Amino acid sequence: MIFRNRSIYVATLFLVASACGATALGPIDESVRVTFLDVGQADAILIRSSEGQTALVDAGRSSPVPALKELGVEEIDLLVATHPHADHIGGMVDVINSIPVRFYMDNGQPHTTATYQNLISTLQQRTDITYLAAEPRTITLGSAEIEVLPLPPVNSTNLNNRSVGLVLRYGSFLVFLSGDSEVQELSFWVQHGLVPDVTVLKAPHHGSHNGFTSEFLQAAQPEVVVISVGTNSYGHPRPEALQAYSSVAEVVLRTDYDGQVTIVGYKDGRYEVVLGQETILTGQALSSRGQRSNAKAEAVVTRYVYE
Amino acid sequence: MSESERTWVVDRIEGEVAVLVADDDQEILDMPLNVLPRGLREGAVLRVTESNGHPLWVSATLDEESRLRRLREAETALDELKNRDPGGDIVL
Repeated sequence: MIFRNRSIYVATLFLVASACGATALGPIDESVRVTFLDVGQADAILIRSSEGQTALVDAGRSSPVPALKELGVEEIDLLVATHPHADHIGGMVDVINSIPVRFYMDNGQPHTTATYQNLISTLQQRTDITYLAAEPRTITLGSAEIEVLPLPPVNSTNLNNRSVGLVLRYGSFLVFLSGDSEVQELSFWVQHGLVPDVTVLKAPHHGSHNGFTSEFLQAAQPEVVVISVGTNSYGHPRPEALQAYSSVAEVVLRTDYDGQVTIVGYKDGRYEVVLGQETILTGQALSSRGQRSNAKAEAVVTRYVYE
Repeated sequence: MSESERTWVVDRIEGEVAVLVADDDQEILDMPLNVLPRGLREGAVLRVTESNGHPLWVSATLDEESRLRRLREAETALDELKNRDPGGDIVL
């Protein structure tokens, strides 16, 4: 059975540059960096533009501030709560109290926990923070753009299915982030043609059995999947999810095995996967099936194999 | 033997597990659904008797009035926050 203990079998991946039209890697400042913080069974994703703007999507179950400080984050231009569950908003108040925040966005869906009440109360007091509703709009983050996807209608008591959906675009490098969205919300986006071919996918709902559909993965066609997951009693990530992700992506990473994961994206679609300080993989976003099969035929593909 | 009451709120349901958040210190606890009142859904408010600091989950009762009040208060707060939204696209 694969996907048990960490074991890296093949160590190098280079999608052949000639097949992709890629050139040598550009300077680090002409990139966008997406860092999946290792926050256990929770989400916290940091986006940094080459111009210095910063967005934090979710804030973990407990405070991510020490990790953010270690990464040199001194200001957060946009703080997003994808939905009000404690594993996504648990560290929000500490972030707001520790680091200047300019804009805060959520899905406008109320919750009843003390964690949520504390967050909303803090936001009410902090009139210097501008609230943004998660509705179709574009947030410009330096030379990158974040497209906010529409939310499905309110017809469910399940907060996961109204997670804020974000598409980060930096030229041909695209990242899809959608909190804990489940089949209902993913299908809504697929049906409305809102799921682009992306480079990186954050596995929805920590790799749950209900965090993917074949139609969604067929539309997204990610090269890299990152699962933000820690010790849990829910069975995350589920074997069927791991199988589905590994069947479409070049590499599937897990924060419980790999720790903090950073993807450096370039405008021409090239990307690097960095674990700690080590770049373990470089690749190229592929925009069509033809390109994919062509590149894969000529590439030496590196995969993480957990067994 | 000392008895007290503690309030827990269902943060979410993960399969057969209810993830609970304590009102007083935001402690988070995973509890099997089968030891909690039937028909539990996320957002439910539970009053749980504690004996010598140990929760007696069989005693858990739903406080629907508190759940609805919390939702009303949160909606009011959200309405205030939404007034800060300048609308449209944003350049950071």
